[in-house]
Amino acid sequence: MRNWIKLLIGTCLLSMLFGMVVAQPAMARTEITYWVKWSGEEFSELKPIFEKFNSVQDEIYVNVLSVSDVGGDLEAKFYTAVAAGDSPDLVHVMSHQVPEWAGKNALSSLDDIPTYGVDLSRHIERYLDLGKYDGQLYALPLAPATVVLYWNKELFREAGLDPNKPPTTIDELNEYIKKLTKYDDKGNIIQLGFDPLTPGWWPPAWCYFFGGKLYDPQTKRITANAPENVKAYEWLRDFIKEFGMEKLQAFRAGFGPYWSAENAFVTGKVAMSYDGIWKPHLIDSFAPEFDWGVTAFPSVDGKTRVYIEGDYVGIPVGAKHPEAAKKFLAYLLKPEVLEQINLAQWKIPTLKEVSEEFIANHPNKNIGEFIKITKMANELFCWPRIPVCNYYLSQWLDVVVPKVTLLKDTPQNVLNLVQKNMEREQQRTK
Amino acid sequence: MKRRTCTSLRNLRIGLFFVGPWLIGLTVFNIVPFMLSLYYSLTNYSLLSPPVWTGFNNFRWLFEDETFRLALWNTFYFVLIGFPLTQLAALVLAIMLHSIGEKSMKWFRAAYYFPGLVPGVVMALTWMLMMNPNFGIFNFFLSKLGISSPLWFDDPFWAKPGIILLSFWYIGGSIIIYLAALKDVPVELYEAASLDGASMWYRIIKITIPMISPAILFNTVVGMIATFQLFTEPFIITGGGPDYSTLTVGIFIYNQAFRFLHMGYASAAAWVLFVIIFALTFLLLKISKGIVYYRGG
Repeated sequence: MRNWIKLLIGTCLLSMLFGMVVAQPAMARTEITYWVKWSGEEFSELKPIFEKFNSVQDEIYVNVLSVSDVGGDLEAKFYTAVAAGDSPDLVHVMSHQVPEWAGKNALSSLDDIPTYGVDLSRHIERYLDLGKYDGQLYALPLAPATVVLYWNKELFREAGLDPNKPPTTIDELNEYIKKLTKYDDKGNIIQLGFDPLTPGWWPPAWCYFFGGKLYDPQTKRITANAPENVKAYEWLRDFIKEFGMEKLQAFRAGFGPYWSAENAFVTGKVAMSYDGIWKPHLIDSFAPEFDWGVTAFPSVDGKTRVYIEGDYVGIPVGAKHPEAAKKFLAYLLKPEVLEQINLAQWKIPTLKEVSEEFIANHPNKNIGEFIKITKMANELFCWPRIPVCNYYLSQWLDVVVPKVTLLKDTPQNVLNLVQKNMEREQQRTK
Repeated sequence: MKRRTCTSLRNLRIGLFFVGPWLIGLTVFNIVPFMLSLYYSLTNYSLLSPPVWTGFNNFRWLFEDETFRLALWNTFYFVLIGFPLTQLAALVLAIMLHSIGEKSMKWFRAAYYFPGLVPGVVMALTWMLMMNPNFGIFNFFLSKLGISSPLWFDDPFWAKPGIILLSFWYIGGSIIIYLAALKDVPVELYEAASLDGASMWYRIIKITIPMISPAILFNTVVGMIATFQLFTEPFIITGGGPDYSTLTVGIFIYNQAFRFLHMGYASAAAWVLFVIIFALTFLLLKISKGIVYYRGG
């Protein structure tokens, strides 16, 4: 009996030794961890691109982890990891979060990244700016996004509109919305020309289309209640009043989940949609025959203003292997790797020039239109580069949109309230 | 005598050995954070930089903060309206179950307790579907009855009643406690009352309620504290919206701490909530002294 035990222990020890010998090459490498918020299919597509780094060199081993971002909680997990001194070596950061994270001392400066072989001059300056805070570079762009207007050409034809002529001004937009909206016998909405709340993820964007802005970098003042912003939200309120708050709510309740065949735009319930560059991926997944067009969102004066944001990558304060992390960053920023990432994401890298193969292989056959929209835009706008960004965003999502769309108060009063709250917040966090 | 002392010491050592892990856990995970939060409530602390002493500023900001006042109001709404309704339902159901045969009662008791085993997040997601204005089962039945369907969690007026409605899911725990207390009520009391011609209503008011008053007090105190800390259901379903109509103090604290990294401010809000809960529990126990009847003591 005792011999059996000895044999068992001996086998275990031998196995451990064998395991250690086999794992030896990996142990010799510097292991770094990269937290990304991509999950599911997106993560499966991107992971091999990131992990290819492990086979092209034998000095560093990167471990890519998908960290759940349900309800935006990657941020909470990241903050607590940094505070606990257990930061990952690299972290996925959305461009609008950069000032907040950098301002709170959670990201390290990447000003020395050119010494690792990254040629920043190959990137569009405007996108590099989104990774900066207070003049310093804190994050680098991997997959940027633009938010544009999509329209359903079939519904345009049905409504007697030219399917190749989208609206360019707010007046035209209003007119098109009326023509594209249909009701049943009981007066219930069965098709809506456009819905500002579907998906409605960029509520402050309306301000820019009316010539407003959220923050004045010169005076460093919040400008939530600027007259143009009030006009933008009066337009939103008038939209709600015209189609009826309850009728709109009942109509929206019938929409399926965003990334599904029941998407309101894909099913033709909404004829025009303000959405991200990834929308063609959604359309292709569920309705490949769908006839759609894309353009910049209309504005009050016909000038094209395009909202930009993106998936960036940064090195947290307290990262255990910042040198190795920067070497991996340099690999990610190689034009051919950036193109692979953006092909998987149905996006366009921030490079000034992309290869012909990239355009030819792009799954979105209208990708040239997106490049044109960004290049020709009169203004590329983004979230204010202030460290109280999360709070400001919550004010638009939790205060402005509900109060205006539920007709609780006038846009002027609501925006005055946000102005007051933000000034108070800035004073409080000084 | 000496031998007894030795035994006592040995017992103490063994006792401490067994209770030790719990004591360590209590100190590390409860007492230390509890005291630290009191300190942080008097500072400006972003978690990533050292706390800066600000005195009572956080408390002053809190009482000027309209969002916090709204969160307090919503929380009190759930405590004063939602919680009594669920307790009343649990009590009525327990009395009804007690009156039926032991065999059926056992089955129903399990059936009522069973939903409570479902984790809060799963329950919240399920109720979101059940209360969907267009294809939810609630509005399906309401429309069959010819009642116009509310938008539930999309409508600030209906969102709070919607959350209250789903809190009935968890009344099984209270029912079990009431049933146990009801079993202890001496049958002779009911027999005597019946002989005197007392009605059922009169028997419930004059015998059942006073006799199970310790259980009512227990459920009230525990349930009230839990309702003050309401978080999971509104957080999952509405995130505190629409228009802050379901924002509870719990969600307010979470947002301040983890969305905006205002740990000091969140700690101050947590302490305000703690003081309210402590004061009301103390008041409840004080008032109950003259009302609750403890048999044999």
